[in-house]
Amino acid sequence: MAAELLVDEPGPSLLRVVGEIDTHTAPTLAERIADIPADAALGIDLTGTSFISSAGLAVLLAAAERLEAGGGSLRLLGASETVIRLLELSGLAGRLPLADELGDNH
Amino acid sequence: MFGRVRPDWGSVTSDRGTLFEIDTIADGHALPRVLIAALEETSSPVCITTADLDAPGPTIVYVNPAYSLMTRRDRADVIGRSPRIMQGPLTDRSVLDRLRDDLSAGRPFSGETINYRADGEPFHIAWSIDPVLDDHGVATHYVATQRDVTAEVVAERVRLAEEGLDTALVDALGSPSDTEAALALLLDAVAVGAGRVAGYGTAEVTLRDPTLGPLRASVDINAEPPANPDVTVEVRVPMTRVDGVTIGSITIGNLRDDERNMIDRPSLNRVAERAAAVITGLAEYQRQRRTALRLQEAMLPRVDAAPDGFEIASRYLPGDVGVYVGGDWFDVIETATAIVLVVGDVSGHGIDAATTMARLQTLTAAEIRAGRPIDQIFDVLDRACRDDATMATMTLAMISTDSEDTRIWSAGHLPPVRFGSDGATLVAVSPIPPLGHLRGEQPTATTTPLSDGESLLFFTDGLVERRGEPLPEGLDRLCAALGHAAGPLDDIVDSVISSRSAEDDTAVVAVRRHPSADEHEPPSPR
Repeated sequence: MAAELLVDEPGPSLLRVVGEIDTHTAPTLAERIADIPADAALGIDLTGTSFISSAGLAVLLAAAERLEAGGGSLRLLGASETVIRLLELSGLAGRLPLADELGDNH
Repeated sequence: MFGRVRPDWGSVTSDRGTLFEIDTIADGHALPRVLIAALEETSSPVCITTADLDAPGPTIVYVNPAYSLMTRRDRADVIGRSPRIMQGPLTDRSVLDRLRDDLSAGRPFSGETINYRADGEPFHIAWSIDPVLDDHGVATHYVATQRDVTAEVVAERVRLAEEGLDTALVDALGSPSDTEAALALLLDAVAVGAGRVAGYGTAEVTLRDPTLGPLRASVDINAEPPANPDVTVEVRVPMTRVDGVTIGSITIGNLRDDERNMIDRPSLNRVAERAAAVITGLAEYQRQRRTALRLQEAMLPRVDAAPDGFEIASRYLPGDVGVYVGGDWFDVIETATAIVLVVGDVSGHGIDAATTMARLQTLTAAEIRAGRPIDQIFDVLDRACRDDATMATMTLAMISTDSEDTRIWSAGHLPPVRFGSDGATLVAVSPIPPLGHLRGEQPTATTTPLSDGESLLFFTDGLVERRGEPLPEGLDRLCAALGHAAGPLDDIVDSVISSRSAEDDTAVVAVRRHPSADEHEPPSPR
């Protein structure tokens, strides 16, 4: 019933998410992010993600706040037009910054 | 290949000399001594019989110690007798028929049935039989290798029963709108699972707590009714929760004595325990859903009449699936100069979400009535969400009753759709982050006119979100549906709600400013 969410870690402080981040799969992503130290400059690669529900946004927002409080940061990589539109509709565009390149995470 | 067996020679020879010392078994047949030694040592039960299929049938000429151990019979009591002494009332006749057919046709046989030990205890046996052929291809003996598979059979039945319960629980949680049907589904699975583990008789599940709904489920396991229905016994095990409370029992009935002895009590207890856990889980889940729904229904306003010149329609629908209830809300608050519409969505579902929802809704209405500025209201709501360790999205619209002026504020919530004779569009509002994450950000008002005959529809994402579909597509679909909408606002709201995916809960509230009476006909009353 629940969609599958694959989260792997292709580089240091880089999580790649493939699948839909919805009510069922958001806890999986939250667990993986919880393993990342709070002072990390974390990049989350959303190239393989077309759908993020409000539960998914809540996870990303909580992660951004934890990292900022710990001296780290969160950037979203490879966000589709759909995801960008979702961030704008949710008023989160300023809280979940986008990055075009993997940059020094790669 | 080993040359002819010559028992009187005491050895098996070939061109290169002696291969085996030989010994004889009960019928005087000779076997290599090393082979007998291996048979004597192995832990696999082996039985060798003559190849007489006609009455009185094969005779046992050799069994090894492992066979004696399994059957609890001395070799002296077995050799010279028929293998049928191992069989009994629970032995599957159809398997024995197949055995005779296979061996008559010269085929090897393998199968499973129930045999009996010397003391009458039945056990599950898996065995295979191979014919031993002489130089002319005629069977002289049958060699049967056997295995006591009771533990495996029992473990497999328990596994299947537990799997069935888990599947039924998932199904039951997926159809919670009918709680009785969901519980009935689960009870059926308990009966089937218990019956599978018992293997005989009828399985009946009885719940002790009448508030849990339908009380019984039963299945017949035996293909045939008991030989003498007047003389039957039963096995009953309690369904006890981990906290020690017994919620009911499972009864395996219509059993003969020997069938009862075959039932593995620990396995049945295990299934009963698991059954208690899944039934309790379902009941608890349904209780939570009912509570959240009642809270929701108690809190949401009943919009009976709109102010003069306006039409208002609102709906709240719980999600179809289980806990998807309790987070969404709407409100309609009239002030001296405006209608205030609120629609919001507390993250998560269930009683916690419903409680926060109630808090936010009450706060909002009270602050609006007190005339508090909007940015302060958002700040109060933001703190309430942080207190409850959750987040919420919300749109608040203030629709002036004495001008076309409408102002809209949003904290992370989807924008409303404006629709009328010119089509439907999303209103471009500039949301700030969701409540609980404002960090002092102040909402900015989007000012938009609501002209005569135009409507605004506010909603939560349950109205437009579909699994696997990007949200913008759902918004486009809603705009397309509203672009041609006409007629009473209630009907329009019903129409857009009927096409939602129904997984998540959904709140909708819509307002229409009536066309001025001197320009248009007012809409006909419903």
